Amino acid sequence: MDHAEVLERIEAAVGAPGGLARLGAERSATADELREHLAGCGPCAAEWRAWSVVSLGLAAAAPDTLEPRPELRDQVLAAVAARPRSAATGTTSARSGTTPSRPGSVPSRAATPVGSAASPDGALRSGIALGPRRARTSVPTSSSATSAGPPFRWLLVAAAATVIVFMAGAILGGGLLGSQGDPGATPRTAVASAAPQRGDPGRVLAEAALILQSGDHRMASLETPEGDAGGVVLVSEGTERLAVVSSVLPGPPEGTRYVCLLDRGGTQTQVGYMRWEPTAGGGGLAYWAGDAEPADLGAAGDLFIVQLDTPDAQPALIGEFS
Amino acid sequence: MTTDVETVPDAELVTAVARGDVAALSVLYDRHGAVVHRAAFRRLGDRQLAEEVVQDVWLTLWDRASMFDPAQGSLAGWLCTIARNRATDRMRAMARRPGTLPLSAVFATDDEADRALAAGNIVASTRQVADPELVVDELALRETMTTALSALPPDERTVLELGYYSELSQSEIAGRLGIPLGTVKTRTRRALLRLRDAFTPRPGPTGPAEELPDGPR
Repeated sequence: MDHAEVLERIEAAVGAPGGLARLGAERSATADELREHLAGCGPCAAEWRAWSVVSLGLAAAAPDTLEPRPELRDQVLAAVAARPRSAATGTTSARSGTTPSRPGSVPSRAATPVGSAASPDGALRSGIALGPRRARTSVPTSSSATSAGPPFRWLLVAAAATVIVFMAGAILGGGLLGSQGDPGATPRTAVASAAPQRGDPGRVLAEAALILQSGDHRMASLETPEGDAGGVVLVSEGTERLAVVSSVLPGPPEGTRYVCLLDRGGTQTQVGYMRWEPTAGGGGLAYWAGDAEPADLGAAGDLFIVQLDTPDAQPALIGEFS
Repeated sequence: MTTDVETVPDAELVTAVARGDVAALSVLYDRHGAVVHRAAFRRLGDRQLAEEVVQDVWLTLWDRASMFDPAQGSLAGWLCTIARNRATDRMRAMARRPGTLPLSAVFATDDEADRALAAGNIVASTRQVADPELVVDELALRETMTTALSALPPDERTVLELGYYSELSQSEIAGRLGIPLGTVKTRTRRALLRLRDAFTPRPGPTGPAEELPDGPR
């Protein structure tokens, strides 16, 4: 397959929604030839990249007038009506004492009568609330604990345990036990053990453990402007790793993110963005873990700041490395 | 008791869904079905895949309605979060298919690969990708593309939008607009080339879009 043919196929594919994806996934001898060519041809690979961005942009720019096919409604409702209730939902239904709709019946769109519904109250809540004050623990840094000498080695262990407990509490309390983010999402522990990612809460816990085991970690306890405990950031110079977690930040407004800044002598540098997920216990979990540039790891006296990435944002959390 | 469904808050309907009330779910679908579908489509760029995700989302609500907490946010936001997560899961599943395009050979950087994976535009990976939510600034991309679309000549934009968002075939577009099929093809290609150049300008004094005549080819 030559360049012209590759480009022709790419352009033909991008002309239809999802066409490039189908071309990339196609299982045929021709598709194999295409992939082989792209693997060895920089200019054609660049063309693929350029068209991928177009295709991505067209999807993202789908207008607000985009509607699903009308038939989809009936398909969805038929699938729901035929669905056996899960054990968890069955418990709810049994408690309420109402009779589920007859399986197989699909309500029409017009004037659907709805049975009397219980008022929304605490019964809808699930999961375990994590009190942010759990993080309010005086934890020495590794340097201070180490300099204190062997009699105080237990303090270092306690510090590590405290941070781990805090992070695990924040992560497990929000991520595993009924996250409003997505009840059917892959369990975090499974993700963490099988496929670590920078944004995964389980990864934050694992990273924290690794950083604490590194023997050279520094830590900053993060506080809200009101002085309440707000989270923790751990860094390891030796492994150039950073983990930060907070369970007190509200969800960022749409289109914004929490950004981490390192303030050194009044000069701020951007370390990275935190991911935020709602938690069942109220509030949410903001976190990040992964590689960090040595300059971003923070030295004694440096401030670690978390705030929204908006021009007028004020620090939501701030902590000082000791 | 029959209630005027238009006035029943989402939270009460979700409570009814948790009790097994399909009618309540149908009302919620009528309220939020379109926005859930858009959330899935905007990540997947494929109507069929998006509809599969939509069905998955409503089944999730049916199974897990009791987990919704109105104090934490709107139902629409919750459903869209599920839709985006499901869309991402679907892309990752596709990426695990054997024999698909090796990303390392095509993408210069991890972010490029992540963005392409997030869009479903490329579906192979030899490594675990970062969560697309971390690397795809969907809002910025949407804004850029919307600007680029608005800059297209109206006739080109029309055929492109009919093809992408109404999913009409080029023959159907030709029939609807009363223009030759060749013209539809030409306008579509010109529009795509303009968009491509808007995102990734090619070297040279003239863009390819200007080289193509309008009309049947």
